[in-house]
Amino acid sequence: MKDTLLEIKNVKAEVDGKEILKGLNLTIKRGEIHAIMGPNGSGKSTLCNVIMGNPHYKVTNGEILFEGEDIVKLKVNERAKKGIFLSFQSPEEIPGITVDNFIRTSLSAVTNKNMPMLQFAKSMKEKMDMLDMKPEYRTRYLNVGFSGGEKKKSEILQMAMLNPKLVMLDEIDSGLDIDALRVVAETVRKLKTDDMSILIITHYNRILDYLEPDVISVLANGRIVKEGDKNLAKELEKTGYESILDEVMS
Amino acid sequence: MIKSLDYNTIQELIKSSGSEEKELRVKGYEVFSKVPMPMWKRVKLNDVHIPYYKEYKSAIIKNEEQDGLVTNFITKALMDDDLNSLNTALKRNFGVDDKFKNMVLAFYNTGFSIRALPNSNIKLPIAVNYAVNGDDDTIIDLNLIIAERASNMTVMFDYSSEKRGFHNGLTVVIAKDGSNVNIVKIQRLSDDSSNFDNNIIITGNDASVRWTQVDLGSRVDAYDITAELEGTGSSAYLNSIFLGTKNQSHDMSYKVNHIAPRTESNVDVKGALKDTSKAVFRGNLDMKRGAKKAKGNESEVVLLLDKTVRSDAIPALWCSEDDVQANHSASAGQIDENKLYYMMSRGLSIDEAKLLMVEASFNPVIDTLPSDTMRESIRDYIGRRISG
Repeated sequence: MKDTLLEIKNVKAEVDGKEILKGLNLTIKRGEIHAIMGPNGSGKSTLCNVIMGNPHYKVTNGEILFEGEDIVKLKVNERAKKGIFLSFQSPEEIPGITVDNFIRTSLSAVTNKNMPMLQFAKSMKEKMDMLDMKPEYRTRYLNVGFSGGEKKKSEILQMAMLNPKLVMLDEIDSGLDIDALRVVAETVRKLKTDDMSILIITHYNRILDYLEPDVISVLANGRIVKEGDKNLAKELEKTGYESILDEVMS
Repeated sequence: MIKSLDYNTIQELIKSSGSEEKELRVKGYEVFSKVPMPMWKRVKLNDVHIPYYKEYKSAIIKNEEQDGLVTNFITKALMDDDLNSLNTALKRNFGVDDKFKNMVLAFYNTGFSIRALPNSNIKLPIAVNYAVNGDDDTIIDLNLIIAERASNMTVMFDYSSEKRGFHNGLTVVIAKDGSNVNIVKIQRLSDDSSNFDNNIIITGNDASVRWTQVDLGSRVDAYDITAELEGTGSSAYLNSIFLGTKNQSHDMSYKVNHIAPRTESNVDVKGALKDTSKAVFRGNLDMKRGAKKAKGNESEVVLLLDKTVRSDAIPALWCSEDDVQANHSASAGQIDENKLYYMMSRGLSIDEAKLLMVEASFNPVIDTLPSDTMRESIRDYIGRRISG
């Protein structure tokens, strides 16, 4: 029996005074791939931001237990140090800071130690090769002038180097063409260890062909309304969210 | 031995000096004694103690023995040539203020004359260090840098202290026809020190001056860099970074006078302010009649790291010539919250994230400094100041 990595209990959260999560419960086991699907505006990205601790989102109720500890009051960087990683839907551009510099700084912040230069370079090369990224990206300013797909690859490169326990992929499939999506998804799969859990936020099924989920949850109107295995995605594709919502509401 | 900044002290200083030094000090004192202390509104001078005259013996110059280079301690002997060059420069209007400028001319206690001979290529950067050192806590330096025709050189000044000191300096840079001069000035005096600096650049035909100002220290800091682009096709590129923490005040003034045709200038200032620090940026770009096809640009970008800081920008553009291009821009803002969130999600604390943003802004300037150890020590210094 795998242990629980993340347990969200009856979480309510608001942004700008508007309640988005309305008593959400969710459990993610260690090593599990868990997909969250749901219609636009249901609160999927809010869920990621609330787990990461974005100060713009206010948790008004409930607990978020990470390895048994309530992290609601922890700062964003403290959560990162515990092993929580969010791949952003729209990663920020940081002019003046190279990809190398940013990842080195992050790595030493998360691990509290400096990786020797040679080991860092070797590790970066290995991961960039997997992602089909050219070496010159190391010296480019972080995400500046990157295409949508390059930004997503840069997120996965950071994930690969930081080696977190919980990876949240917030619409990693948006802005990626089919080939890039395959490369990104396969890289995530290769990098996934038995201890790493992945939370995938997506509208589409295609990424689930490469990263086969153990559990799929449907998020609607701020709550998880249905849980199932990978077949749930196929069912949703056929019937759309409407039928599930009807079923749940009735 | 300390003495007041008065006529008796001048008399003593010139007792055994040559006629050039006499002329300079006496003329300087005449103005100094008449002009009142300035009343600055934006940066208050209440905390500045006007020093006594003291000797200063801690000046160090490195790489001064190179082919084509002539250097002199200005306090040992002021040469005829030096005085002529100084007088040429002193006809121009420049400096923080007449009181401070003439204080240097009357009471300078250190300084160098550095001259690159015609067609010489001075390979190693000449490093001049003025540190507050024990009792040597009053630095009043007069520096003269002359690049003769078609010469190249780099001069790096470093003002530093661990304890309270006073610095007031005057630097004249004369770049003659076809010369290339790089000036670097680093100011990292302790956060209870006072710093004043008066600088003028005069360019001949096709001469080019690059000036990098790294302005980090002092409780009260005021400096002025004036460039007189007198030679056709000459240029001045002034790049600056400044950092304010605690209750520091920086008052920065840049003036570029485009006098000759096809002159080019760029003033690029990047700053960061933390705690309750203040900064005023004055940028004056003056396109004089006859400066046809001249191009001038000035910009200032300030990162506000706390809501309690204050940043003022006063850019001004004067045009008496039609056929010119001139731009200026100034912006000041806090670090975008989304960027902070993004960086913190990768494990950086809020201070680490802010430091990274400051580095991002400063790196293009720090990267141009001519020594590895200097780059490292500046980065460390900035890191300590922002984290501390």
